[in-house]
Amino acid sequence: MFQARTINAEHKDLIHDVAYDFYGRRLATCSSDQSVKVFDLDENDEWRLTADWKTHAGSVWKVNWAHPEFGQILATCSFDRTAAIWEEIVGESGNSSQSKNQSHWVKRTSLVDSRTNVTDIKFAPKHMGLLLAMCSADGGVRIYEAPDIMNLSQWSLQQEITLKMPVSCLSWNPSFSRLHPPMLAVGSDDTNVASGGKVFLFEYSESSHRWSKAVTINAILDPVHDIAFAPNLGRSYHILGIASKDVRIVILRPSQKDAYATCPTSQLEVLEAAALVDHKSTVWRLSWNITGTILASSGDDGCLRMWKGKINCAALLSLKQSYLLSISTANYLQNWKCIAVLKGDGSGVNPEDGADRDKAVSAATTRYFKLGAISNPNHVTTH
Amino acid sequence: MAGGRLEVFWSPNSQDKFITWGSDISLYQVKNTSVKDDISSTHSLQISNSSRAYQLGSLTDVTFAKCLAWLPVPELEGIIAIGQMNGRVALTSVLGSGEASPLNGKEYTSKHNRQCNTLAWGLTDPYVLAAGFDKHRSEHGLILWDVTKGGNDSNRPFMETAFGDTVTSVAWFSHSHTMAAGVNNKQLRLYDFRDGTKHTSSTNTRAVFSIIEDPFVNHRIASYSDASVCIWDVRNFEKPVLSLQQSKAVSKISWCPTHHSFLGVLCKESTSLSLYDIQNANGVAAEEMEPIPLERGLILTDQQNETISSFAWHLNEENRLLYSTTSLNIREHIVVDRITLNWSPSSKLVWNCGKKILQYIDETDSVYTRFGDVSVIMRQRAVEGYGLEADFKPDSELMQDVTTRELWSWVDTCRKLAQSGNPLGVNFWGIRSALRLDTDGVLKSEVFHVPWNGVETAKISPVNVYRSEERNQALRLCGWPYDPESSILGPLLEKLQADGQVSRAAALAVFHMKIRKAIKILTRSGIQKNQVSYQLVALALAGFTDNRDTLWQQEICNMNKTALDDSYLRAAFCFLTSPSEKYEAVLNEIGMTVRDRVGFACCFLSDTHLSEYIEHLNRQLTKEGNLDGMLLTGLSSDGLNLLQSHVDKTGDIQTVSLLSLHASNLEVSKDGRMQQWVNSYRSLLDSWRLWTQRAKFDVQFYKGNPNGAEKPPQQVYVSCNYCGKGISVFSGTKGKLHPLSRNSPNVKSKLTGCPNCRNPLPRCAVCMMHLGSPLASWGGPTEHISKKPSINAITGVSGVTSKKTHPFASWILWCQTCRHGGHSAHLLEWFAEHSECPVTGCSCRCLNLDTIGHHIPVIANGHD
Repeated sequence: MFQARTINAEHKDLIHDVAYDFYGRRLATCSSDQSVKVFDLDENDEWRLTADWKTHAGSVWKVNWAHPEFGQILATCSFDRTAAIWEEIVGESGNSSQSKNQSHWVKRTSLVDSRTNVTDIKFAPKHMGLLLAMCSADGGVRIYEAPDIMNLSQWSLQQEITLKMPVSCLSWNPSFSRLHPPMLAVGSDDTNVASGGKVFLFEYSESSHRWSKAVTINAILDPVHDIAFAPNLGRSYHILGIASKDVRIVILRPSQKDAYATCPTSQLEVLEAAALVDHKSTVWRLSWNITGTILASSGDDGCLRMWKGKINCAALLSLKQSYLLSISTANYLQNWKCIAVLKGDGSGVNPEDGADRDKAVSAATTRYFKLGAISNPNHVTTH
Repeated sequence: MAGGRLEVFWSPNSQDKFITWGSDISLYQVKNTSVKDDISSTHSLQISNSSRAYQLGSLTDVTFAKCLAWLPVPELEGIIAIGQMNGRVALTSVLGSGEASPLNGKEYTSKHNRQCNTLAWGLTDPYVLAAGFDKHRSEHGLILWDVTKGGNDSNRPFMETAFGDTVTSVAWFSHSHTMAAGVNNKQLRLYDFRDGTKHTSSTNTRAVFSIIEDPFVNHRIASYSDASVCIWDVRNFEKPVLSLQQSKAVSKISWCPTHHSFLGVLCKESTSLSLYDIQNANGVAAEEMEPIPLERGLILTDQQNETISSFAWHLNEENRLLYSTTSLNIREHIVVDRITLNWSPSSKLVWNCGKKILQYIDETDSVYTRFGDVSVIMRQRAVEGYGLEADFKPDSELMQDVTTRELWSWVDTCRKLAQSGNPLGVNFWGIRSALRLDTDGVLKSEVFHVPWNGVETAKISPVNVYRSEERNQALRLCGWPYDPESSILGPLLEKLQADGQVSRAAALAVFHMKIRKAIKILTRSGIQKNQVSYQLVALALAGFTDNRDTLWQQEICNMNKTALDDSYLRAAFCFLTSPSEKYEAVLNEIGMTVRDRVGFACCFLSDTHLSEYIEHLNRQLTKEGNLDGMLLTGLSSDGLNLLQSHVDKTGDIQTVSLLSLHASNLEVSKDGRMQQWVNSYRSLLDSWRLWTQRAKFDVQFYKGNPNGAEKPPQQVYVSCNYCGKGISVFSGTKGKLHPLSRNSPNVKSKLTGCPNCRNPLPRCAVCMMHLGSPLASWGGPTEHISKKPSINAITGVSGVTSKKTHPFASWILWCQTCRHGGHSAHLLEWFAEHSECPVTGCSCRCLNLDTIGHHIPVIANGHD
C-alpha cells in the first residue's frame, strides 16, 4: 500500500496554503492559527522547520515567495485586512549554532490599503520586476511595486482595480514571451450566479502603463476558489486552471496576427478546454507541475486528482484524412483526463478509480453536476 | 416524531455510543469491523467501511416524545430525559430496566396539559434539568428541576420563570448558572439564576429555535428561524453578528466540538450539510472587523429520494460526524479539511492533511511515475548532459526514445554533411529543401530499371527506381545509399546488424533489390540468436516471385499484414507483393522510421507522387508535433512550426532548446519563439539548480554564434588598490577599469604584485600570504571542507572537494559586505567551522549573507 511521506507542520488550526520557493528547497505554510512556518530541505533531503512566527491578527490565507534574485522574501495576506512583506535576516544576533538552524524573519512592510479580508497575494514573474498583486473581498485588486529592490519597506501602489464582486484568488501569467502583454487573472467567489462571469483577465499595456480588463470568462458562473496559469514554457497558448464547483481548463490563445507592438491590448481567443467533474464537489485548490503539463486539484471529496491533457486519438485519426484544420487548432484537441487520484491522508491510491472516471467523463455528453460527495461511495448500510 | 424522521445523538458519556430516535429510541455501540464477530447480527448497522454499530437497548414507547436530552453523567450511561406532548418529562434509561439508577423512571409534569418543547441538562450542575413548554396563562414556560432531590416534593421545580410564555429552546452556558432561552417566537433571553429569575438581557428576533453555545467562544451562540441561522454575541445582544441565509427551512444546527467556530447547518429535504467556518480577527482588527463565514457544502448522500434527517458531531474525534437519512440509514462521515496543495519545480507535490501534517510525494514514488511527468524526464536528461555532450551513452534512456534518437542522428548527419560543405548540412535543411519542394522547384528524375539481385532475373521483372541529384541529396539525409551502385549499402547493413536491427537491415536489402543478401542476413541472425522466426521469414523470402498468379504471391499477400508483428519485415513483404508502384502499404507503415519511409519514397515514387507524399507526411507530422518531421522541414520556419507544435503537445522545451544550439547562426534563431524556448529552458535549469548545465548550455549557445553580438561582456575585473589598474592578464585590452570593481578572473601567472605599479596584492585573511601566491596548507582542521560553495563572487563553483586539485582553490574571494577575503579554499575551510569573518574584530557573517549558499547545486551524477 502506498503511503506518502509526511512533514510535521504542527499548526494549531487549518493550513490554508503551502508555497515552494523558486528552487523547491524551501516550503512556507500559513494557517488559521495566524502563523507562518518555513521548512528547509537539508543535505539529507529532510524537511526541517527553520522559522515559525506569528504574522497576522487573523487567519493567514496565502503565502508566496519572491524570486530569489530579490532575496529571501515572503508575502502573506490575511483575514485581518492586511498583507505583509517579510524578509529573512541571517546572522545578526544569537550564537552560531542557533543561527544555523533557525532563521529570523522581519516584517518589512504592511500593506493596509484594503478595508476588507485580503484573500490572495502573489509576486509577479521575475522579468516584470519586484511587483506583487493582492486582492480582497471588497473586489479590490491592487498592484504594488518596490521601486528600489534593495528597500523592501517602500512599496508604491501602482494601480488599483475595483471589481463589483468579491475577489478570492489571482494568478500571474508566468510566460516569458514578449509576443503578448503581461497578464493577470482573478477569480471571484461570489455565490450569485446571476452576477455573471467570475473570472477576469487583465492585460498590461506598455504604452499607457495601465492594467485593463481584457476578457471576462462568462462561461464560469459558479464561485471560483482558486485560479492558476500553467507555467508556459514556450507554448504558443496559455492554459488557465480554475477551481470552482468543478475543475475548468481554459485555453487562451493570443491571436497571432496582431503583434504585441502594434496592438497593445491583444486579442485573446478563449477556448474552454475542459470541465472536469470527477471531484463531484467543490474544488478548492489547483497547482500545475513545472512544465504546465499536469494539473493537480484538491476538492471536498478529500482527494487530490491529477489531470493531463492527452491527445485525442479519434480526433487525430480524423486529422489524417482532412488537412482543413489549421495546425494550431489541432493542439486543442486534447482530452483532459484524470490520470491519478490520491487520498488526502496520503494513504491509498486506487488506479481503477481514475480509469473508471475517465470513461464517465468522456461518455457524458450532458453533464450532471453534483455539488459534493461523500469521500467513499461504498458505504453500505444493513439493518 | 414522524415516521420517516430519524434523529441521532452521540452519547455525552462515552465515545462509542449513540442513540437514534425514530419510531423507537435505540442505543448503539460502535465497533471496528476488523473485529469480525457476528456481522450478520440483526441488531447491527454498518455505518462506515470500517465500523459497525451494535444495538444495546431500545425504548419502544416513544409515541408522545417531543424532545429529549441525554444526561451527561458518565456513571449513568443510558439515562435520557424525554419531553412529551402532554407536558410530562420522563427520565428513563435506554438500557431498559437493566440500568439500576434512582433516576430511572422518575417523572416530572407540568400542571397543565401542554407540550414540552425543549430539555437541557445543566453544564456546571449536570443534575439540573431545564424544560421549556408551550405557554399557559397560569404557568411558567421555563421550569428547572433538580433531579437528585428525593422525597415528597421531589417534583417541585427548583426554579420557574417566563410566566405565561412559550419557551421553544434553552441552552446552558458552560460558565456558571446562566442560560439562553427562545421565548414566544420573538425573543431571545439570557438568564442568570444566581441573580434570580428575571432575565438579564434580551433581544427581539424570530430566531428562537435550537439555541447552541459555541464550545470555543463562550460568548457566542447560534439559533435559527425558518431559513436563517443567526449568530449572536451575548455581550452585544442587540443584533446578530452574522445571519446565514439558507435556501430551505433549517432543521438542525450544531457547533463542531473539535473545530474552532465551525457550525454545521442542516436544512430540511437536503442531501447536504452546510458547514460554516466563522473567521474572526483578534487584536485591534477585531474591533473593526465583523466575523466572516466561509461556507462549504458537504454532500452526504447521492441516492435518490433520500435526504438527511439529522446529524451529530462526535464530541472528541476530530471532524467525525454521524448522520441519518430519510430512508432510515445511519452512517458515519469524516469531514475532510480543505486541502491546499503545491507542486515544486523539482517535482515534489505537497498537500496538507488537517492541521498538523503535510504529505508529499515526488518522482521517486511509484505513484508519481504514473503521472508521466515530462519535467522528470527532462531533468534526468539534463543531469546526464543531454545535448551538451557529443554522444549519448549507449544505455541511456534517451537511446530508447526512437524519435529523439532519430532526431539527433539527423543532426549528426547534417553536421557530417556540413564538414564536406554540403549546403544541406550547413543550413540544417530538411528533405523538403533537398527536393526543392519549399521553393516550388520541379523534380525531374530519370527512371532506371533495377534488376533483382540474387534471384533468377529472367523470371522477375526489374523495378523502376527514380534518380536525380535532388533525390540523392535527400537520400543522403536519410542515410540511405545514394549512388547507383549503392556502395555504402554493405557497411550500412553490417552496422544495422551489429546494432541488432536485423529486420531493418533485411528490409533495406530488399528495398535495394538484394534479396539474397536479405535472406543471408535473416538466416545468419536466426542461427546466431536461435530465432526460428527469422529463419522462417528467410525461407519465405526465398520463394519470391512477382508472378501474381502464383501461390506465393497470393498467400503472402493474404497473410503478411497480420501475421508479422515486425513492421520492417511487413514492409518488405508489402514491397514484394505490391503491384507496380503501389507502395501505400510500405509508405504508411508507421513502425518504420520516417527516415526509412522517406528514403523508400525517394527511390520508388514518381516525381508527383513523391512530392505529394512528402507534403502529406510533413503536414501530418507537424500537426502531431512529431519531431520525426524535422527531417522533412529542417531548421526552417516550417521546422519552427513543427517544434512549436511539439512544445504545445508535450511541453518538452529541452529538445527544441538544444536544437537551437545548432541553429544559432541561422535565420531562425532570430525568431521570437526560439528565443522564448531558450530562455524558458535556461530558467528551468536554474530552478533545478543545474547551474553547471545551464552555464555549459550558455557557452555552447554563444559559441555557435560566432558574431558574438550577444555575447555578454566581462562583468568583473580585479584592479590594483594602489594604482587602480587591472591586474588580470586579459584586462589590459578592455580599456578603462572601475577602481572599485574587484573580483577574481583567472590569475594564471603566479602574480603576487600589481604588474603596473609593483605594489603587492592584499593578503589572504587566513594564510596571510599575498594573494596570487601559491596555496599553502595552513595547518588548520583541513579535513572538513564544507560542501557549500559560497560567498557572492563564485556561486558557480560546485562541489569543492579538494583544495589542492580544484582549479578554483587559489581563486580570490571577497565578501561584498566587509570587503575581507582570501584564497577560496582557505575561506571555505574557515567557514566550515566558523560563521564570522576570519579577520580579527570583524563580526561580519559573510557566508550567511549569501542566501543562494543554501542551495547546493545538483551534482552531475544524480539528483539532489
